[in-house]
Amino acid sequence: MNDVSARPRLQLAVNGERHDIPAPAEERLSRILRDRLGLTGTKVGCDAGDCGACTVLVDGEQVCACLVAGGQVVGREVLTVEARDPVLDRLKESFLTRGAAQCGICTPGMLMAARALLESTPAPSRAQVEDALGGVLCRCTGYVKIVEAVLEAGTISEIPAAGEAVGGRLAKVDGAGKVAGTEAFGADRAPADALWLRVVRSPHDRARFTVGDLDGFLRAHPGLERILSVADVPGSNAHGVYPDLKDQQVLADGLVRHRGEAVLALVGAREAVEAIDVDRLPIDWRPETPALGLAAALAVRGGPVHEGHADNVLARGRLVKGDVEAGFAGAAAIAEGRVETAFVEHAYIEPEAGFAVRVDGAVPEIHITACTQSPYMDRDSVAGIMGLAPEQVRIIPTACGGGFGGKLDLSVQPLLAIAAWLTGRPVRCAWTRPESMAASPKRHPTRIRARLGVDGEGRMQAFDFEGDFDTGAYASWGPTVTGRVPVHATGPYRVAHVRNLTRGIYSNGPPAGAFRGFGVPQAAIAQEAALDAVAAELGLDRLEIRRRNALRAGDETSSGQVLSASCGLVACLDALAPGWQAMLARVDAANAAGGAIRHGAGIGCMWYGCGNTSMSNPSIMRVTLDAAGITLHSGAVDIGQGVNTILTQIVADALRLPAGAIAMVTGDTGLTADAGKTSASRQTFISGKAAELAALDLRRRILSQANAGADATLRLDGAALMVEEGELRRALPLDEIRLEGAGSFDPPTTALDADGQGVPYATYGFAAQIAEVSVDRELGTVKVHRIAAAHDVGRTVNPTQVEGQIQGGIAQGLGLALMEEYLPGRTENLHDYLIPTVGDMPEIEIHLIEDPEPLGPSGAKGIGEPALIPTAPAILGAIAHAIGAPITRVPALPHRVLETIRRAEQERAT
Amino acid sequence: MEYLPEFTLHRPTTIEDALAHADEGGRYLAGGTDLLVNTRRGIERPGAMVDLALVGELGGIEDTDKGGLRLGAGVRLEDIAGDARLGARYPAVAEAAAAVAGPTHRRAGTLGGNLCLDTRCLYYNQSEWWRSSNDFCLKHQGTVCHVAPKGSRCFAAYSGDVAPALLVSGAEVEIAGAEGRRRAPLGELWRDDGLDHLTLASGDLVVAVHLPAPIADLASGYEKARVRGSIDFPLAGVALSLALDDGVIHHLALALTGVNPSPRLVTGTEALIGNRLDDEAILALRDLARTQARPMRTTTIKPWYRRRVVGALTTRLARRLGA
Repeated sequence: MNDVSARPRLQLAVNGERHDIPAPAEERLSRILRDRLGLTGTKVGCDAGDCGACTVLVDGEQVCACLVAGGQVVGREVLTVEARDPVLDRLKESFLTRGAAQCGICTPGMLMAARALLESTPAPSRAQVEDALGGVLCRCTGYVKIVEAVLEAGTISEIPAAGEAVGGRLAKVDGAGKVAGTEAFGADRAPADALWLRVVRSPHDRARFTVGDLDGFLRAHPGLERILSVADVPGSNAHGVYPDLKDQQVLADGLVRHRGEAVLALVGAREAVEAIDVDRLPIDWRPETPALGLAAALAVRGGPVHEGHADNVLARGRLVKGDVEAGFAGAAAIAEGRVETAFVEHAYIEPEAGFAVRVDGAVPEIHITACTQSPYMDRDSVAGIMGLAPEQVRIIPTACGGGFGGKLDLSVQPLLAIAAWLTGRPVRCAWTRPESMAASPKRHPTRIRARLGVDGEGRMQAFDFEGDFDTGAYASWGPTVTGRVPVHATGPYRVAHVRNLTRGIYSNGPPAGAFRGFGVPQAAIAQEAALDAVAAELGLDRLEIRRRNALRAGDETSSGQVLSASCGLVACLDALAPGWQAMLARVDAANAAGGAIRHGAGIGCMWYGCGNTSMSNPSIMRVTLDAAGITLHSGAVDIGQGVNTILTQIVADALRLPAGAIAMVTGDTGLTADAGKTSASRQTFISGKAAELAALDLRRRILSQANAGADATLRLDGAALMVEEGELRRALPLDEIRLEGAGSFDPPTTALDADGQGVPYATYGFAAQIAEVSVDRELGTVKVHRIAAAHDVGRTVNPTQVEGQIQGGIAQGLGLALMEEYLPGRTENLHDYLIPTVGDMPEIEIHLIEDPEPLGPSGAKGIGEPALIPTAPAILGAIAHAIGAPITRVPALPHRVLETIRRAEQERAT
Repeated sequence: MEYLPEFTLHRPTTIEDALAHADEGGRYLAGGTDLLVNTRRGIERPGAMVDLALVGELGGIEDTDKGGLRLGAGVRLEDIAGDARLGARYPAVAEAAAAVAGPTHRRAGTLGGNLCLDTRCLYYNQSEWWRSSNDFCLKHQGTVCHVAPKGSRCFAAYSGDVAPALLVSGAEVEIAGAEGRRRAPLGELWRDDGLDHLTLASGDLVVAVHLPAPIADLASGYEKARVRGSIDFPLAGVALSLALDDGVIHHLALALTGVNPSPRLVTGTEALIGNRLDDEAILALRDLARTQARPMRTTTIKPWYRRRVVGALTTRLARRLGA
């Protein structure tokens, strides 16, 4: 008998080293690797075998380390991402230089799965690669560059010459740590003596509650140090993302408004905190009737969710131009697009995590190290909750394992801060996957109707849009959504008569906030469907009708803004036109054969304002020259999208130095200035411009110090910066010089009037995508075969990264269209909540259009959100093309597709 | 509970030792892809687990003297999917194993584990705090089935992919228990009750599955409906085995998964023996599948859809195998 339970220690072989570990045999391998051996390169995304982030090799084969007990690997060889291994090294280099790592949280798992494949199959086929990676989820890349990196392990990175970094495929400047597994994410590091914090959450959608004897409970549980309740919040228990709208509780005060709302927090030794059965806590619940869904919320079922909002309406958006009724009266054809959408979860592979430390000095401070998209906003919000001055709060962002808008709101920060402040001990916390899904904000569910009237040539005359957005229990970014959507609701087209109305509705659903596109992706589905319907009525080609209506430079938008430059939609459509014709021909040929599989082609266009709507949103950047060399101090958070690399390229060219000469200090509110949030596709455009200005300022100062002319050449030569111009050669010794260049940029916008008229954004991204799908008419399943995407990005700063954004945006758009539906409580894991796997991705062809934006750095503008918006309209248009009827409820899950087919057949029969 | 509670891990090397540990209350642990996840959710709370990985007798796919195969219960699903003998003689079994979840699950998951997979339901495979707010459910800790509140039965669905493929292949299961070894038709491993779908006595261990030699001209296959290209459990799965003699059916077996509390060998197919495999026969087969599938609201996808695609998959398989 081989009974490991008799032994208190485990002998494990990890990465060729033998370890004697004081761990019980049942402890899971993921925890042994991370907590006992410090090998935090193995990530934990779900702890349930659904995401594959913890994939390691055991005897050369991939396993989920969270599903293996330590005792099961005794006597076997465990290999992790930290291993020195020639195959793994080659893969890491390939992942780095091909942009296969964006946020980097899935990268170790992907690398290990690929390593297992290449060991047995050195030259795999694409299908073999896709199969081998099929158990590891990625939310950023759309898998395309990962598959390429495995297929063609090798290097394609360019090392651009000085002054030529913009436009080059510079490898991610912060990528080495991501592929090595050494980059620290929220859950990876904390002081050794940190206490553990676990949040107790409401299991009810709406309930009142009273808390009993917590002191007694505390005394009965050794190891538990403290139980935080609302009484422990030192400052304001109300927070929110707007200065004048703070409706969210840090800890609930007798009333919970959604399932998953925080009620108490347990603080103590990790084992003690984890062992507690939360059902035994003295909480007396009195559930009340919840308002779930838009219909119930508008009927004010169970009473208003918040006092002061008797009709549950949180915010309204409005844009009116011309006379919409007159426009329809003169229209040759009128059609409608309708859609209902669901809550959509960000499903970043890194659950929220971090730690806080109280630093007692002359003025006490609280330092919070956590994953975030918005360090300065976190700082100010936490200060309000703590009753401290903002300067007493320091936010140190960790690497962020995916954000997509979901990490703009506070998550672990306030409770960590309170716990560390009150106990005087460091406190750490990592949300579980179900907790992350229950407590973090979502994409707004919507009910939208778009009505469109065109003239005989298909030119848009009148557009009437009504959209309700379920913002859940708290405002989060709801008003931003209701404000942004009316500006964009017509799509990127010229329309004389417009009426766009939106409402944000409180319910007892999870708070809906920011998610890549702020409501515009949902609106585009209905609006593009209306355009398809009217094209069908007139017998017009769907690309052609978009081309006829496309906004061009000199045109006026529905908010009355005259676009002066950088309107590349026509160029996007022209780039796609040959592929569109070929796609239509392929679809017709395939359908001619008959059978259960029907093919279809679809097209979607979009525009998207870069930056916040009609408000100041500046970025401030500093570039320094001192003993440390040249350093860019950037408060812009890189959540995987690559802004660190983009800014490095821009700064390098402005200084006319090689990109390798630029070091960075990022994020930390103690060391960098406010660059604004990583959201609204604003960092390349706004922080990029600020960084360019800062670098130009530094260059001027350097040249002035050296008495050199504007064309002088700079060169870092060991410990000196060389300034050379003709005969002039001056060495500026780094340890004697301290120069700083500063740059700030705030895109020019104006407030919108009561009719939504004004200049809401300084520039817009434009794009068009076409999709080819097949629909199984018997099973209702949809396969997306091809997507071609054309995006006007102004100027491509880094093609690898822009492609990566587009591919990743397409993956999320595909999820939105076909499979993603968050049902509170029911799909709170990565097994029932479906995000696309590598096998679900289509072939993707990308056309980068460069219609330069005069305000942007080198002409560049944003790509993050534009990448996703046209995908769902294109796929849904293709499904409608295949089955002859539009899908009006997304995601287009198989039963909804079959329902639509059946209804269309019935309608045709009658 | 989202944290793995403590338990003792035993690692026996023989079936006798495994049985002894189980007799003391240990739960058998094979690939862990189901049991460990359920344990974390507080659905299972074993004080001890009996890891079967070192039990040699559970491994191996072996030819038997009569042209059949013995599949050890510990054989990994990946090895079943890739076995050339299975691919040639019983392609349905290999196809079904290849259709399970994703590659990491197939590498960890075993044949025995897949056959003994717990039944699944939206109201059951959930975190403890969510289930507690629903007063739990009939299957675990509660008294009401939220899928069929007026009934007294549990309708959680059996969702293993391999079982129906083995059922249409005439498999037998070999079980070790306190009373010694026994062999029985595989279908006897389950009963139609989502609450308690395995007929195994406490401590019983599935040791192997035996497949007979295939009859002449046997064709078989497995099809499943799921939303994504990998990872997902079947919304519905269908296995069919078929032998034609000059277009006339002389053997036919059809089995379903994902739509009942246990995998089900469809009854009534014998009436089609002797008929030509024409549209009429295929329609009759489809209707048999549809009427014997009883999907309930155990998934986010609606029941009517799952019943309908059971028919569609049956039709598709019959056409594929009959072609």
